[in-house]
Amino acid sequence: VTACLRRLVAGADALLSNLKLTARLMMVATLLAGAGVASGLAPARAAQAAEADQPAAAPGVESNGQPAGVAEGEAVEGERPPTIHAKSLLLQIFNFAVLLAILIKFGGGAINKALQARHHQLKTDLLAASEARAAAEGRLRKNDERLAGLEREIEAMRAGIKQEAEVEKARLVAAAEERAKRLREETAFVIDQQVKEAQAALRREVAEGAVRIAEQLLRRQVDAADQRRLLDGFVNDVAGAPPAAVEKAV
Amino acid sequence: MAALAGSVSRRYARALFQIGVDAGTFEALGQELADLAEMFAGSPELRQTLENPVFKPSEKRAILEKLLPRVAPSRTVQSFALLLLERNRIVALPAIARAYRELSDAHSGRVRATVTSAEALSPADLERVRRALEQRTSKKVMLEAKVDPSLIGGLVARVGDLVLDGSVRTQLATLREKLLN
Repeated sequence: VTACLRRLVAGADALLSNLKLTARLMMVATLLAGAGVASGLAPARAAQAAEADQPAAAPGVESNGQPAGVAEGEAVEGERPPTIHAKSLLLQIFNFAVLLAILIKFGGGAINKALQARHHQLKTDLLAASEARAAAEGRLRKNDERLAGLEREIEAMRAGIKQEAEVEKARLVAAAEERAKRLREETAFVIDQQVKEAQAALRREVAEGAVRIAEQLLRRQVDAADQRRLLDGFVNDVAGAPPAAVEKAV
Repeated sequence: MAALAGSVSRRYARALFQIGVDAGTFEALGQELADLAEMFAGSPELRQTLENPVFKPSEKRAILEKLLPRVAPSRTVQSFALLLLERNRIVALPAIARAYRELSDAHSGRVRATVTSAEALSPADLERVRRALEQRTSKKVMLEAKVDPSLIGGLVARVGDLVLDGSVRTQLATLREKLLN
């Protein structure tokens, strides 16, 4: 976009240069027209000079029209102020007037019109070019500002991305720590459960072994006296206040 | 189904018991009914014959009429047994006998108890136990003795729904529970 705008500005500059060149050409044409008028006066002046020099054109006159040996002195002596033939001048003025009349009569309007159109065209082109230049400069300025803003925007985006990355990193670290903590707790719980199960199994094994040994001992050692004692205790318990251990509802 | 059978048994037992109470012969009727139920439960051939639908009701009735005078002299128990046969309730005869015994015991202020010991108890010991149970329940106790060597020592008395356990086996089980907990 910047390159396009620069090309537009260059085009406007070229158009201005063309307009300046056109103005110079018109000036040259005017000078040439002036030169034409001047060239109309030159023949009349030459004719007057010819008439003045005609009597001196005798034998011994050199080719340049001046006598040898006295040419320089005669030239100084022969300088006379130029004379204006009124008739010729009037004819030339008339001629020039007629030419001007013809030009004005048949070409003045068209030239004026063309020049006017050219003037308007140039004016419009200048205006459009200046507007385009202003628009292009505006766009260029806007783009420059945008480019400057883009730098800031890129910087802001970079900062935002960095911040998000930091947040994500912190979140991942927190999640990993939480998971590790949970795993530690679960592992500790499992270990605790296994320890409790092992303790319970050991306690059960010890209890059953102890009860089994006690039962074997009792089976071998309980005699009639023990039976009597147990019977007496039972009768006393039933007849008196029975302990809760020996009474239960079915 | 068992609850329904129990309910039916109690209704039949209550009807016969009421007849016996009215006539003042509920003890004799109870004994005849118990003998009849014991015969019925102890003879699989008789039970299968009376329960088998292949035999005609008249044939079943004829068989029962021949057997009844031997174990149930009273006309009331005979009629009761024939009524059960007629209504296809003869299979409930043992349950009816138990329900009748409970009604009779309750009416007479009696309670039946079972004493189980590791070794057989002497009559004097059984009498001590019976008196202790009567003192405990405030009822007349009809004691039945059993022997179970797995008790190791001591004895277990069961009175109705009440169990009095003084056996070494139970004390060892209690000790085991305490050690485990």
